[in-house]
Amino acid sequence: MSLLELENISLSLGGRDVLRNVSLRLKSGAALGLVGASGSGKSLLALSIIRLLPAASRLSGQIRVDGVNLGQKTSAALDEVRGKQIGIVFQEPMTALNPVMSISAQVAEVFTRHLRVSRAEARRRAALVLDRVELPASLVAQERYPNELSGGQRQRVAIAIAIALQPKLLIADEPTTALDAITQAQILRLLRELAAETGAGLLFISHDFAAVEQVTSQLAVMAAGEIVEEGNIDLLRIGARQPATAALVAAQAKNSIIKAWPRPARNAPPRLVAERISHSYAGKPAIHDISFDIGWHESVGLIGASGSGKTTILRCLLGLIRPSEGEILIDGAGFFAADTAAKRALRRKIQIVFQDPYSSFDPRWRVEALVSEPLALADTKLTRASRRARVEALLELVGLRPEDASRFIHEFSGGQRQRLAIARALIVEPEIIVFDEATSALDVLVKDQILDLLTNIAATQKISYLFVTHDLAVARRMTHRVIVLDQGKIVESGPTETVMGTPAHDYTRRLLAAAG
Amino acid sequence: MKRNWPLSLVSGAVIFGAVLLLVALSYVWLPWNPLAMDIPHRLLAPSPSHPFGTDQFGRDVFANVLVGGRISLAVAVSALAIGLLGGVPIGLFAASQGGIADSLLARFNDLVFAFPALLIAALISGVAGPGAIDAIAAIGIFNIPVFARVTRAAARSFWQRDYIAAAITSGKTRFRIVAGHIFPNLLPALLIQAAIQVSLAILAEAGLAYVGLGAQPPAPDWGRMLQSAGTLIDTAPWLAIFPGIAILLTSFALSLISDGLRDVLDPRR
Repeated sequence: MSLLELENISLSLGGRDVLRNVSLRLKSGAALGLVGASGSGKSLLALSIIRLLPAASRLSGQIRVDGVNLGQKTSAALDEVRGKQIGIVFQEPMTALNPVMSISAQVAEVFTRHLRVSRAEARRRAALVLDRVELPASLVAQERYPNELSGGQRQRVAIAIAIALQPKLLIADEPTTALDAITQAQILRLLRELAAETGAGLLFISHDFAAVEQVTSQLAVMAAGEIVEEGNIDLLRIGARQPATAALVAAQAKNSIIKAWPRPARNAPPRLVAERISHSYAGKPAIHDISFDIGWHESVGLIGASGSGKTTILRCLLGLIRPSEGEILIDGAGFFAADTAAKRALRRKIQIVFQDPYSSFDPRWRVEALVSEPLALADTKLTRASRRARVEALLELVGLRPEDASRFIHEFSGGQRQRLAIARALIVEPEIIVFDEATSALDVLVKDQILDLLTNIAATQKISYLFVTHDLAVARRMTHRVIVLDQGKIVESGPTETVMGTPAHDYTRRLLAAAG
Repeated sequence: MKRNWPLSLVSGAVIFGAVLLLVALSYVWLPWNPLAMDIPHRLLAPSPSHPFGTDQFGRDVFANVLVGGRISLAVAVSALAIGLLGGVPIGLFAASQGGIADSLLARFNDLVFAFPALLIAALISGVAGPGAIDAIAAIGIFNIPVFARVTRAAARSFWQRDYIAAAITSGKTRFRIVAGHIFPNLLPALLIQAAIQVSLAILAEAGLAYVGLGAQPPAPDWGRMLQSAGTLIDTAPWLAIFPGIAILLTSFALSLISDGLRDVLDPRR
């Protein structure tokens, strides 16, 4: 008998069909990867299983876990099932934990809630589980709060909560998307081991073929609310019959191809020079003695795990914070020596595309005003009509329509918003554009399109790029040169192929090994 | 662009407009002299000649409700204006500066909060003599930290957004960021708070009047009418019901308006 049986699951949200006749089986002890682009309905399917759906939804079909039909359960009975029989790990480790409860209390709560054991006993069991998910003993022994943990550690706590009661079914919904490559590999290994150890069935949801491959070889591919293809991952790679599968495979394959524009001549003076910059927050050093430059029409990658100091460097480059030591020069001028007019001229030379497409734009402004904001500041003499014309031209350049200028930001998807962010960066004709993990919130297909777009733009405009990323595939595809950061220091730098091919530093080797 | 006004805004405006109109009417026409006592006709239940009944001195409640709105609305609206004009800039400034300025302003807020409006009113009436002005000043000053807090909390969260960092990297000045990005995004929170503060002010004014501060009797106002009706609630419930309805309608209308305005301002609508 199968552990999880879904029969003809259909779901509509506010009258819109988001799942259509989905049927799926998962055996005890087996693992199944559920892959699909964003919006394909894979997360909604997971939420349907545990029935955590919005109020305005209509669900039909049969959901059986271990032979028990969940559709007939009352909501109190469902509370018993969630946690006890089904454990779930969500994507975002930052919001999955309660910030004012210590982590051991949060794990212990699972035991007191479901098993009616004493508080002391619950704490004892919580410590065991936290130890099992390989959290350092120093974090387990003391009362620690989520803000003291890294993203990967928080995700381990979330996993501890999910597996605490040894559920029969473990659902992991993009559990590693927000994590860097090394942490991702560790978390995936842990999930795989835990599922094998407890004999639980594992439903692993992801848009990333590479991540799924580290957990299971069995796949179901979703597109537009339906399961379009099922089977072994290698077979699907070779002979995907469905366009949705083929597109996912192709996006994956492309990530390992070096596809950048010709290497720039290195004889021109560099556009940006960072000279021995160091910075500390409240006495804690964040970066130490960082020096590098970015050449004319060159693309540089700044690689490192979360907490390696990438963001601090980036904020220094943009003049948002002043480094405690050292200086940053763009075309020979620095932000903190400059007067107001010179500063404004400097601002025009460096622009940024942020990671989170949802907080990058003021929700109350129209696209025309949003995209032209830097231009309106840089060139106050421009008429509104000529600004509008610039905006429309740029919208076309980034693959949107000119009439989108009149719309508000909430009408755009994540990928479209990143296109708008690129348009906003391009409008002042900057010399350097910094990408702060600009594709990490996007699914593989959209990411691929955005990287293609950037490659095309680089081919026609002589702009320098700086990719700040933990995604080695992006660095490999988009940069000439990479700088590897670990704990606030540069541990290695050089041409991308050399560093990726023959890494000299141990940390780089681990980073590469983790990325597979 | 053609815009459909939301129902809540329209109905709120109609109700509030009607309240204002009736209060304005009191300047040109009144059914009875609101202050004229008529002991033989005291505590009459509502009837065609006294639509809201009469009070323990035989004064017409309807006339008093009409006239009472003058002080109640004037106090509430002026106190709101003081709170907004004082609190919002403080909150915006604190959020945009952070650091020491922010901490100092937060302590200042705590200090003002620690002084009950009653005490402020007593202080002011000691200097200026009792009158509606003390009530306005006391409640207005009390409103300042309320709005400063709401503004600061919301503004600080907006300062964290990437679009602010993007604006800074484009060379936008702090002042223009506040005016262009922070303030417009704050409006919904301020509107909600404003509607709450107006209702609170009407009641707070009654509380002040009760202890002899604020507008002085016999000038009627809704809050004090409600307050003094308390002892007669069994024998003459209309004394409490009609000024109560007036306060309720006003605050209901204002929260409808603030709700509607929020919808109008929301680009997602």
